[in-house]
Amino acid sequence: MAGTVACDYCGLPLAGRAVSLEPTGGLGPPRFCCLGCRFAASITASSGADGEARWMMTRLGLAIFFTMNVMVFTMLLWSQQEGAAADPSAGSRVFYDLARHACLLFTGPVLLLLGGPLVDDTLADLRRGRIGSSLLLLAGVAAAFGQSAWATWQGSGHVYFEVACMVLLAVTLGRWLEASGKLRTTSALRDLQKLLPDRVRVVTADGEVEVPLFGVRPGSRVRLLPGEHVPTDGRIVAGCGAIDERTVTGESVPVVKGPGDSLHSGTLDLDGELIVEVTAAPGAGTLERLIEAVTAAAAGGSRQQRLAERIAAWFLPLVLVVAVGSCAVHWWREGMAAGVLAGLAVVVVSCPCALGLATPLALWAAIGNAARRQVLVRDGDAFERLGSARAWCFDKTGTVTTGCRLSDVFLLPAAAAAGIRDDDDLLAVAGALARGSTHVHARALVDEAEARGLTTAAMIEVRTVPGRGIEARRAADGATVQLGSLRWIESLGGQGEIERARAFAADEPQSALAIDGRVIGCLWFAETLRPEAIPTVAALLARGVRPLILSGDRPERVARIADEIGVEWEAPLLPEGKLERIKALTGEGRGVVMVGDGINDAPSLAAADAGVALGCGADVSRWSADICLLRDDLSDLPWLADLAARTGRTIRWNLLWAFGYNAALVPLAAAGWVHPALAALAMLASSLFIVTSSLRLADGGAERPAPSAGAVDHLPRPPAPQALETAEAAGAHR
Amino acid sequence: MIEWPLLVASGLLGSAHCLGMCGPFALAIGSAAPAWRANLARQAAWSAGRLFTYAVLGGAAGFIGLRVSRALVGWTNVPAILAIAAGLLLVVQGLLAAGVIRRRGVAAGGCPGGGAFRALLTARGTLEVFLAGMFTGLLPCGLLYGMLALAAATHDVPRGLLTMVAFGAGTVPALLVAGLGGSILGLAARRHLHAIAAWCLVLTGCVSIARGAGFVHFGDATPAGCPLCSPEVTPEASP
Repeated sequence: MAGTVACDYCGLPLAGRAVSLEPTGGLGPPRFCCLGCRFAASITASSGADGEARWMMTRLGLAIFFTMNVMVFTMLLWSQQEGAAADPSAGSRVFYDLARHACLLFTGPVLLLLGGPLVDDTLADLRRGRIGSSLLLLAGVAAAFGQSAWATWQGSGHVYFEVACMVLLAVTLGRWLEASGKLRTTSALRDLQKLLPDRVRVVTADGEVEVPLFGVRPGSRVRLLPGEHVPTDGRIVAGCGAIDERTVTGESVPVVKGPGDSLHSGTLDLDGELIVEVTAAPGAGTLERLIEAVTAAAAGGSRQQRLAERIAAWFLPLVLVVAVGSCAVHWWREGMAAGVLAGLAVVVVSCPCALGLATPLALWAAIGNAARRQVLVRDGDAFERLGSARAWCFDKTGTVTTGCRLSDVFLLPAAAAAGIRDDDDLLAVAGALARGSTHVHARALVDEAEARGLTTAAMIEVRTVPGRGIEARRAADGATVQLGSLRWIESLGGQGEIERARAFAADEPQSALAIDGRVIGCLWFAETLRPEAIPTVAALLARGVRPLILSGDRPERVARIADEIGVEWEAPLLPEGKLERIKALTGEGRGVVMVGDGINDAPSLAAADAGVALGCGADVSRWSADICLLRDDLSDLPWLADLAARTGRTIRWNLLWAFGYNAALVPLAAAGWVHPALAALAMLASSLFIVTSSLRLADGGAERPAPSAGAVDHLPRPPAPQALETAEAAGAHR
Repeated sequence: MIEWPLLVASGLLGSAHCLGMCGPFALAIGSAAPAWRANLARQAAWSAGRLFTYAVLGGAAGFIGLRVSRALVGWTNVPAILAIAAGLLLVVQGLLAAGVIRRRGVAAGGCPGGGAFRALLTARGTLEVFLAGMFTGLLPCGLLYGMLALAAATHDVPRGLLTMVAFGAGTVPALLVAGLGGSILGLAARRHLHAIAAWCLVLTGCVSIARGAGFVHFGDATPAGCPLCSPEVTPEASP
């Protein structure tokens, strides 16, 4: 990922921060996005992976324990203050001294336990020539502790041990909370990364060696056993097996692959032992590129995030100025202690993290949640816009519909002479020819022939006529059989017969079959609606959204489909026409989502406020949409709309909170009306609010409704057709 | 004070409720110890951690009560109102626990510290177990909130602290036994005990309300005093 660097603890990008942009690649000094990550990482580094969470909690827990003790003794001191002033007896003096020494005793460990990361952070700031809040916090804590220790030693004067403890604890806890929140928002992507094995078996001339994944180079051969994930992109050299590709293509039906077929990294070899020639260096495979695309989307952030970051960049210096000013004023008017307390309260109570985290944390959580459901968001801005879009445009073919079926057959008088007595005879011949093609109409013919249980006729010399159809000779009698587009069959000399077929139905037939140059029959096909299309549209309508079909197909066909699912439609529209329409809708200011397939609809997907594509395929570099439904399932759309709307709401609330909180409490603290210990608690509460409200977006809805019956009852399909072949055959029936 | 035995009883009987919520923690702690003696030490450390948190919370509640009553020093009936408010809260919590009032479901948010807390529970060291107990003490619990209200009504740091220690001590035996020997009580028995505990809470609340009401000061009339703990007050004076 060019131009961004990730935090070495939580993995969040450090975009917008003043750091150099070359990736560390595990070398050089680690970089952290905040104090919390520095703290968490320092603990992780000091113990094994197993004990990391435990040791962190022990350290925090001990600090909390000592702070609680300090608080109890402080409360005792405070509650006795008035009584002690009235009764300067020896007993109350002894109690006073005891309580102060107890506070001193318990504060020391808190400083030792939590001070380290704050000191490190301050030093890091100073090395970069900056004065950050860490320095002021450290100075404030040191002043509070120093003054209190001196007062305890002297036996007179105020003590502020609770200030030192609470500030240190709340700052650490708050930052740690943010760090672990960030860690959780990225967990979905890390789970994906975990699909790749750490070590692979490389086959060499001498035998087999196990090497770390990153030791593999393109060209090496790797042995893959059943149940293992493909470590990086490659091509099968030997062996054959069923491959589960749902992680990268969303396809839930395993694909059988053999020698010569390519494999995507992250897919699962279900049952075969394979020798794979590596074609992509580790880190450049399909899955990694997929993760990178989503990471880049989150790194890019959104418009609101950039705005908040710009404000946060101003906010921090402003807080520092206010803190120093408030400290100076109170020092001058009421003495040093009051000045330090007021300044410290300002630094502690201000929550720039809330400002900086309000948007990215929510966006990250939502994008991660979507990724878990195999909805890949590549543009954070588009995702935010999707939540408020009021017009949803759908492409028809391949988006609202999936494939097609044979709807009608018309036999011409010439059929009898060619030995075709009825529809079944015609289908037996047509089905046999259609086997050689992957065009949707050809598949529909094969399906129909199989559904009717027909024995297809044997064919020889089958050949594809590019852009037109298929030609072969019947094995039984050597007759030439042609199946293809109407125009092709017409050009072979059969206009008269086809005119009769045109009179038979309102629609133009889509294909025709000819035997020995005579037209035998015409065929009509109807598109099949996706089973989830109707509930999806209903769900979108219930959300106050206006769905609309924009199609390049004939109006009567579009109307039939649109009426069935109950949406408005516009047809026929050329790709430029769709683009115009979307621009017009955008101009109306309603927010436009375009849902289509990623290849044919690329211009309209790019023009819409948010482009959603189905069936993007595994190669992320060829995606043109902002959001990709890997699973090819429309029922993800209402869920996505909800998630985007929730994300927008959460971001607005978070920002409102962050601004409102800071605007209310910073002036109060500057006026000296907020005790630093209370300020610390308020800051902690603010962080907690932002983190928990954002993390709520990371869960919920990840589990899907049960898939519709049609979606599961597939038989394993033959190996995926080559793109070229599909393109040829597509032309064949036009 | 009349409440002390009631407080311990609330804790003792409330254990039925604790077993439901905190019992699994006690079991998790026990599962990491091979011998029962080691387990006993762990259970004790865990309960000590809980009691420590309760004590600090009680002290803080007492301090808040003290500050409130001092801030409102011109107002005549502050201690009485605090006692009544605490009593009402206890009664509500009791009725909630008894199932007389139904609460709406609360949407669970993400807890970023959950994993780390689990790690502490099963840690080998006694210190970690003590800390785990400390964090357990912070778990939201209706029983606890009711008791904290009572601690606030003492408007005194040490007394608030002791209130919570008394309540916490009551919860120790059941959890200790549960952690040592698995569950001694079946689900049905726990349900019965839970109901009794809930009504015990309601009773404690009523006592607090009665005490508060006894101290309410109307104009020139002398306070009636507590009907339960002030034997010197004549019966005619009580409302």
